[in-house]
Amino acid sequence: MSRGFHLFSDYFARRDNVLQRLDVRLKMGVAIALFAAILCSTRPVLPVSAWLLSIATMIALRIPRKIIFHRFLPSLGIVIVIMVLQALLIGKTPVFSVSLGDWVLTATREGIAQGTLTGSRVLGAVGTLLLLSSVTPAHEIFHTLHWCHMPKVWVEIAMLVYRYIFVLLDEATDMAAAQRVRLGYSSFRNSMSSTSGLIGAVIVRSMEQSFRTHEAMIARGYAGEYRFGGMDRLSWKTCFDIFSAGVGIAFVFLLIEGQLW
Amino acid sequence: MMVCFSGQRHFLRLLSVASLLLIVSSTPVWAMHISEGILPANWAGLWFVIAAPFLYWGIREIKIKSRKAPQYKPFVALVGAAVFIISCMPIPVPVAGTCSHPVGTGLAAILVGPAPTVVLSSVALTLQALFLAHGGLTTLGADIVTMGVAGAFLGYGIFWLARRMGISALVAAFLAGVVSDWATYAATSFILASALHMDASLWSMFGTILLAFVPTQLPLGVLEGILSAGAYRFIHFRIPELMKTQFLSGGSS
Amino acid sequence: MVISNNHKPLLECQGLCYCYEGGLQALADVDFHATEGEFVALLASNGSGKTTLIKVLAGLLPPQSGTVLIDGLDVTKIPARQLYGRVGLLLQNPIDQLFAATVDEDVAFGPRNQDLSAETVEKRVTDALESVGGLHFRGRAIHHLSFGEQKRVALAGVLAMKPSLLLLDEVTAGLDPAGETHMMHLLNRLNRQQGITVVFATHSIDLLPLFADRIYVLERGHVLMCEPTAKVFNEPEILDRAGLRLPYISSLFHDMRRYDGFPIKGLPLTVQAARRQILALLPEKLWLGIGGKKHE
Repeated sequence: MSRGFHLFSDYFARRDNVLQRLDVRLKMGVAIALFAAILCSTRPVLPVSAWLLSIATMIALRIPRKIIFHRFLPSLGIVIVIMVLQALLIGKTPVFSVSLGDWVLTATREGIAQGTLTGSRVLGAVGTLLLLSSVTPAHEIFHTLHWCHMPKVWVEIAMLVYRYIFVLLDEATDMAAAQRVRLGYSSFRNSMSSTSGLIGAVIVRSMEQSFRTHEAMIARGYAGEYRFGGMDRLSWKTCFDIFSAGVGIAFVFLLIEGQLW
Repeated sequence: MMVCFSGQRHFLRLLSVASLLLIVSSTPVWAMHISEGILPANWAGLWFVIAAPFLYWGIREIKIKSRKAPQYKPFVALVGAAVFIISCMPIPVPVAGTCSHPVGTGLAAILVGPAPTVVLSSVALTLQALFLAHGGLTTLGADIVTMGVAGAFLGYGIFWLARRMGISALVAAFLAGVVSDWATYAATSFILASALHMDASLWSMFGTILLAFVPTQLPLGVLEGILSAGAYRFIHFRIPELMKTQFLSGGSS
Repeated sequence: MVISNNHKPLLECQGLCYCYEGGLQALADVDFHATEGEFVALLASNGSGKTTLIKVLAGLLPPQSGTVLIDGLDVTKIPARQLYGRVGLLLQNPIDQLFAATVDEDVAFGPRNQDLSAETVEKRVTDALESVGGLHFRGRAIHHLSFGEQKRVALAGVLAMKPSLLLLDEVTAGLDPAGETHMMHLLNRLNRQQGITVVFATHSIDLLPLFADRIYVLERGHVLMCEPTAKVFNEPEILDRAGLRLPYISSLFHDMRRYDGFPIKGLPLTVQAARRQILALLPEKLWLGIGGKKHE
């Protein structure tokens, strides 16, 4: 229960800052436009700039550098894997080769170029995603999806999952600690049985919790459908902002892709 | 002779790249979900289109079931939260330095059925993308296909088949865990390969990624199977009456 | 069992029986009533059926026999919307009750289910949070609140539906002493100022005499006693039978009377009353001699 949970927090998404105060729809609109531009770009310039820009913004928002680094770490691993895969398997023009006995690994020019592009796309897109989630709490994103006519059942389930993750997380952490202090993880066999017990216990707890939650919901007038508060009407100013952000991103994209660079 | 020789060389090349991958990235955690940005726009869109009908099916099933039993919706949601937590738990791997997590969809599919599990994995994947940058929003469609569709349906299928053949529920839960884990990784490899292969052959890319997975994922799948069976036994022991209710697809339906 | 004539009965039950599926008889022939504006406590040890009774009263568990009437209407028959506009239920664990992501969302859950307009919902949320002293919780995430704060938000969520009857299960359990007192004063204020009838299950024996009008003592699903507070605490034997005790301050006086022969008439239930009794018993010279102040 130790690894992986440290970074797991939407703490920063609730801190007050310039981006946090923006309309969620504007933030999501910009993110979608950026994703599209990054995924469609055929040169690494735009994705890499998006990546650098996202890091700079997160630093400006005073998110600790260590956390930014940790959040990017898995994607850096992925980038290495992709570059290796594409450099060695794609293309025909050899650049260099390494021989290890019978095995000869040849990197090609096309492969390296393609690997760099895909890698830069991953960095740019992950940067955009991290920036979005650092300034927008998950429940606001779900509200926006509801506003966009995502099926209500999905939004309702997502909201409940989001809420009870934190409850179950606390319980699971406590249970794991209780197992650990009674030497539940002292050997491999032990660990397997403790982990499966923990998994079972978390599921049982979740089922019991669901019945209690449902009772509490009924006692507050729930009749099978969760009612969400409506979002504010999309103001003309926000509409204009979304539009101009989209146009701006498209313009930069065309500028780079159209080789005007 | 020539063909055989080139086939052998081809295989050797795959093997060498795969082992290099294993060396540069010793933890298989990078492969659990398809990361944001890997899939080009057209591929990302295609997988969303493929995932959509399954998602629709799951939402419909949840709607219908919760009309009959109103507590079903919170039940599915809470099981979803539990599966989310489980997929964040480390699998106790005896080898130092490695770290992996259960997929959890096999168990979820046994508990709430495969179609609702697709919905749950879509929610869990969205939250994981937002919280942890595991997976991504543009690759959500692809991730739903690997975890939800491949993992849940194959895992549930093998559970159902094993029960039909009179195999004990515990063994069936083990098989469901193993199969859902392997199916998820196989599907992930395929989707990655299809997006990354470019002018190289799809199968050599697919083979390489699969080969790179095998040494870690084969045993991890078995461990996940053991965990699923253990968890199943625990749940069955703690709330036997629940296993027979209408909620749990393993019971009546 | 006295029903004062100037108040009309709000909640009336006769012969309630509830048996869980496993065969556990949680309630056996329970009669219960509460009049408008009353502050009624359910006092019982663990596993005596308090929570079951609260849930039966709230219409969540249909009793196998007996009826629960609120304002003369059977809770199992009237539509949920009508029922939960009158009855507010607060569960023991706020985690069960708070299912939205943020405080505002959660408090607005009930009023939205009542089909109120957005402005009214907004006003209800503000008023409810204000009355639990939690206006500064607005916009915060539920999982960032402390346990005591969660309890107050859960109560606000119930109050936002403007119930005339509050059913509270172990409302002070798990709170620190200050939180406990704060919660009881809050309920007392709601009861006295807004006239909300309060029925609450509790273990906090020491706080009861300050607040409760009447106490029901339950034991294994039976009502052992149903009397005004002062009378209940005059029966230490019955309390003992139910696995309960006197307030600590009363036990002190009880023991002094019983074992040391102190001439004490009527057990004091609160620290205030006890102080007055001690001062009356001791000769004035004694405490003035050791530096005490003259008692006014």
